[in-house]
Amino acid sequence: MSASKLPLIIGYLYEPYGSHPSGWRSPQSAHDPYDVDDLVAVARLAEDAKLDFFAVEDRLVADMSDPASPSRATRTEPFTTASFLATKTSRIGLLVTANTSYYEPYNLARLSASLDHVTHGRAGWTVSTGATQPADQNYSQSPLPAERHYARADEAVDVIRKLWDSWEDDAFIRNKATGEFVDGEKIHPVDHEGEHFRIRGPLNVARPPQSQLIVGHAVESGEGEAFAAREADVVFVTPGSIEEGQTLRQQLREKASAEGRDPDSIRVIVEITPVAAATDAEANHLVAGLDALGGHAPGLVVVGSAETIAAVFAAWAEAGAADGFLIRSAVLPAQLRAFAEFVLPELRNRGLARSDYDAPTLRGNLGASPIPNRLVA
Amino acid sequence: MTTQKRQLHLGLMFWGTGTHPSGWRWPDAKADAAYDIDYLQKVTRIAEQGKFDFVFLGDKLATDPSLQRSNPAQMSRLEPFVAGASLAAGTSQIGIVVTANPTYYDPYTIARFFASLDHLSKGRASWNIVTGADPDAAGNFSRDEHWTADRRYDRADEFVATVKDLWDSWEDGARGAAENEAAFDPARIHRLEPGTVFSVAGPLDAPRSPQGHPVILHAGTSERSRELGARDADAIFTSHVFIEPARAYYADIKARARRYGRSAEDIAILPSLTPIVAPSTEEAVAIFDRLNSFLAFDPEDAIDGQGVFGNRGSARSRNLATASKVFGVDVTGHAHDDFVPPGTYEAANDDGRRLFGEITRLTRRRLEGGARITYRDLVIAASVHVPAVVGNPVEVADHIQHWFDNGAADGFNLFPAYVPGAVQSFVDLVVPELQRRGIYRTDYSGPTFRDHLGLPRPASRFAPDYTEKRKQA
Repeated sequence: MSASKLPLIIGYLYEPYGSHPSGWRSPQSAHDPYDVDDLVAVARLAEDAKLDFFAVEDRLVADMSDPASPSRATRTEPFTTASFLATKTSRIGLLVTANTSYYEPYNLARLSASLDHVTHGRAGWTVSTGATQPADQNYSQSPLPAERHYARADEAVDVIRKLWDSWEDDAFIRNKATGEFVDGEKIHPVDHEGEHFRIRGPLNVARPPQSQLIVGHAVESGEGEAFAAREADVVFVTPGSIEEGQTLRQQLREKASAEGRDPDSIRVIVEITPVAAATDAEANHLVAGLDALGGHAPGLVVVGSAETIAAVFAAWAEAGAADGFLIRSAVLPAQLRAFAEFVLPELRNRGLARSDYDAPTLRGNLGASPIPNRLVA
Repeated sequence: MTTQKRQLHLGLMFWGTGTHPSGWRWPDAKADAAYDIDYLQKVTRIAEQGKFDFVFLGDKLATDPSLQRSNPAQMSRLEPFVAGASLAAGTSQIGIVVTANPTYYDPYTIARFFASLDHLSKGRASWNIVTGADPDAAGNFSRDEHWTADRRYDRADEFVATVKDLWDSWEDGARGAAENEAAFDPARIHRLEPGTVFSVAGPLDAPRSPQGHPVILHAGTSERSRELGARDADAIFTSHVFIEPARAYYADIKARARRYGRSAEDIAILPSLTPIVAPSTEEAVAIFDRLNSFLAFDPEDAIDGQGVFGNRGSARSRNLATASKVFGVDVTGHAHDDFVPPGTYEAANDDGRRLFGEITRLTRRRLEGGARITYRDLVIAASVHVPAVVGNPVEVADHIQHWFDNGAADGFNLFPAYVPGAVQSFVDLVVPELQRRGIYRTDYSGPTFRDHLGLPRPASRFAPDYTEKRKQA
């Protein structure tokens, strides 16, 4: 079992109404996802806490099945949201979820590369597919089996990676004296001919500052594991226990090795809702109050004082069950603030969390290696 | 009814290194502006200080290194939704126009991008609809061939209707408040009927945006384009060089809009205009000439559209052979700086004679007298032919007012030849002159782009009283 590398990666999952279905109705809730000032305040809280990234998720459908649980029904679109936040923040990584089943790769490549430019190298793309986030009904499509969605995702990511590389870093000359603007020899068509896509290229956006954006994937199936093992820098998982987490992380590392990757290049991030308060009793009281309004926080939930929560994080790290955590807040912004104020100092005391950003880019902060241009011989 | 004079609308066509092919070579130009979002925000704020209605982000869906010759600012730049959302974060009042092509997107994606941008910008989002005049885009989108205009417009017509339905799918007020037990009211959130081209169930995954419908813009001269614009657009861009065809187009669009039950005021016609302004006429002409001096000329044997860098740039070759074709008279073999004799004008065709008029209008040079037209002027006029005005602030304002008062324009989409100079000088010199004349706002009248255009916020077509209100209107 490979131990977790410290400090842990700590990212934030932005859920417009909080992770608890009744979080938005809590007396502590003070967040309107359609008031952009509230949105900016949450992103800045995460940045002030030196979290690695702020992830904007996506669904492409409005799930209206439960009017009491609005997080599944409505959200702002991730690329526009992250691009807006790019200017309102300066250090934190910005991850967007985008679904390869419902976008043209050329558009996704443009959007993501441009996001990396406006964030000065802080962008990441969480790849989702119609296998787990179906939106056929809104995209004039018929349902397809999971493997078809993943086959399309494989090819989309492959061609998008090539499109990101289609401009060499020094393709621009910009010599005012001679009038040479670009060196055409350093701008490459991709000439992709695949099962799903035929794309000539080049992209009409310069190579991203990170060269290749950080790629994430939320694993919910065997197909998802295989995809993540091939492509993902960060993998989001929802194990039910430390043991499950150990097994899942080990599997992902082995599969990444089998793909010829360094197993340390795939970082397994556990989604978790920490409900923090000054004492365990207060935290339990908070959760009881939320549950009384209806529903329970989904997935892994840890409730308690800073010490209680930090001990859980430490146990997962010691067991090699996580390379990091994706923090979900039951109530916005109160629980993000509580995590930052109570839990993070304790995590730092234990060497589990960073106290400042190490690098200007997300890739740098995650300790991921630079990537050579695959279109250059 | 207000008695205020009719007001001009101004937009900034935003290419970071200028719309002139050599704008990036201007001494103050930031040659790497295309990817410097802080700088792009700074320039947008200059336009916002000038109370411009909007900043306009164009788009192309294919590129090639040869574009560096004709359109370096279009060759490689930020994707417009990303740029637009970032510009929204760096500004507070100016409208944000993002170009998006229905041929290569799905309506659900476009509806949510604009709804989201409208929420984030507090009501400043706008969609410029292009259907894809760029045949090379097909090669980047797994298409066997560039679709015909009819096929593109068949798709675009239903696309736009579907997007509007999605924008309407949450009635205003369908969101609940925290004191309610429900965050939204399902009875006021609606699904869509399947169409011919698209089957989109809806509803949108966002509540109705601040403007209800983000502003819709369109450009084009074809029959299908005029119909789409007259039916669906709030503003239309044109690029006429001469006022007579501009007036005919203006009258045609307004007449078509009336046939769709709209009033002439519901749709603004905004020709493009490249203003070169300086405190004096002489300084303005000097700027114009200096910009053109940066243009690389092509060898005499270069064929149209095949410049020294490749063959994708659509611009004409810059040589005397091309000038000869355009003017209809053989001007090859002359030194570029030699004066053109009056006989050349006599021998030119009608287009050529009109171009001689344009050269004189822009440079003040003539075939006789002090400042004389040279062969270089012919090459430039034949290769770079855009609607422009060169002069002091009064001359530029006169030109604008002439079009504005004579049924050719409700405003202008301004092309800054070089950045930031052409933006700053227009705001500093021409805006006060237009304000003095009472034809341009001294401040924004409201927070949204619809407010800038004087457009009401539309009701959701799913709202119970929608049909009744339409009947009364």
